[in-house]
Amino acid sequence: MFVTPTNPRFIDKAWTRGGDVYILDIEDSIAPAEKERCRTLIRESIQKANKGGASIYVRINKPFVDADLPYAVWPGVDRIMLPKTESADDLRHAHDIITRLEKERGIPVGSIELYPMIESTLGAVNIHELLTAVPRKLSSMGGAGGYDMAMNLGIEMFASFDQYAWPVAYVALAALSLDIEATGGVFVPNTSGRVDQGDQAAKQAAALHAAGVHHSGALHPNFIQPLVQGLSATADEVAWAHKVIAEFDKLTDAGESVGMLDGKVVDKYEYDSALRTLEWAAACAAKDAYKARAMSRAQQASA
Amino acid sequence: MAETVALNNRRSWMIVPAHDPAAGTCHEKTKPDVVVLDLEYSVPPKAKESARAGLGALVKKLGDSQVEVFVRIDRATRWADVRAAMHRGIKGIVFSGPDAPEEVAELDELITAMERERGIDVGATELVLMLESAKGFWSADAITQASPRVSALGVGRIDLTMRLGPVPQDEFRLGRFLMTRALVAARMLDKQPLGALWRPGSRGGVANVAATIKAATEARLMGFTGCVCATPEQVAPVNEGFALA
Repeated sequence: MFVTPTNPRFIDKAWTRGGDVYILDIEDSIAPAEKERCRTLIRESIQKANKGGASIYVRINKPFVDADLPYAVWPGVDRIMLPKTESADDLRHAHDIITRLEKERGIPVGSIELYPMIESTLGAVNIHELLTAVPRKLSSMGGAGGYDMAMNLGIEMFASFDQYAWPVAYVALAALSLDIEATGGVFVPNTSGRVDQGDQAAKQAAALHAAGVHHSGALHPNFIQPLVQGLSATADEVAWAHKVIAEFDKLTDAGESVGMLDGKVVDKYEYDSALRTLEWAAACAAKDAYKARAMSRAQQASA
Repeated sequence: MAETVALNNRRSWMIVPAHDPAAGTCHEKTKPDVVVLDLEYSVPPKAKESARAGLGALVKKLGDSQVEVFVRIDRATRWADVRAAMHRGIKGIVFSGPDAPEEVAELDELITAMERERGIDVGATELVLMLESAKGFWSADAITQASPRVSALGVGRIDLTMRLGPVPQDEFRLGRFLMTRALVAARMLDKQPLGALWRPGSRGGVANVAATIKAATEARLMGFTGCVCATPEQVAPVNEGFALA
């Protein structure tokens, strides 16, 4: 979830909301006159927002990369989000500054991930070159379908049909071809123009989950619980995965490759899919346990 | 090259596990347009050796019965699989999951060597590429142009490799985009486009007749002219769905 460091009401309480990630924003949620103050608040905001075990990202401004990064690169930051990335040079520039700051500040060099946000047609077209530009872990490209892309394409964002099909899929394919996880989303119609409705979050989570996408962003705390719940592996899915694995092992032992279980096909693909379900369930459980421990320590400390 | 084939006549590509004792007569009941003897995932690891050993007789028998017979090779063991498959009577090789043009060019050379060794017209053996990986889809054009043998370009099992999720969704952009990418490459390079937008409704869902007709019809409307049939039951509905209205 995006958090504005300049608003004590948001930043002080964020950790109690149970999000997996808090994104400290210096970009679009911060008014120009507040940017300078916001930069100086990032370092203390990290410690406030990660009390519940969440990861911390910082979203900086495209026009102020040089000014923002010295205030954004600190121990405890997992990822820098680089909005409106359009070229390999954009990434190289940010990478060089981050590397210098990592060296100066005792952060393992290369440990901070870079998240280029693709928010324009130019960024989408250049995606392959951009993703091979720097020797640093890059994370997925989810930004391909937001406000800025809508502005660039001249489309209406809150429509009942999918406007972003090409840039999202093209960017996702490039990422996948380079073994970078792609979170490129699933189209969920939202004609309301609102981003604070929990039932919309549940719908979004269900569509993403069904399509195998594991992450989603939120602008409002009402989105956090529906997303965390909806994107986790369900107990039914885990139980079914165990059955499929047991059945496929039996088939293999018997020298067979395809079988049926409760009217469903069991084969190599179902087996691999079941393994993936268990992996994801384990990853969710590990994150939940980590957050629960951090949360309980933080509650004791503040009691 | 051998006689020109009317590519649009190949709607149903029926997969037959090569170790299946009934593989030699599999086509008689359902009459698929193409029989694909499989060395890939429908053959359990324990049966791979015997499946390869039996291919020569099988290819010859089916070829003699005027059946268009292809062999689907396993990416991981493709070299041994091609050697085992290349016998008189073979129409072509189905290669699932190519990642790069070099892989296709290498296979082309191996096929040429085997044609010489086994007395098959040099250049007559076709190659059908089924894209399954992100790298493959990204380089679809170059991969297709890597060998003059390539006669068809298709979309293979992409649900897991492309992380389409437990249940490929109607609205999921990537699935449709990948279908289109393969179609554009195939049409641009004058190859037969193979694929169908199969949505089982749940993991492990069985392809019933109605769902198969629907998938094949939609694929035809998208521009595809045939697809793989995982089971004999899919042959008739696939033929129906791809038949021009």
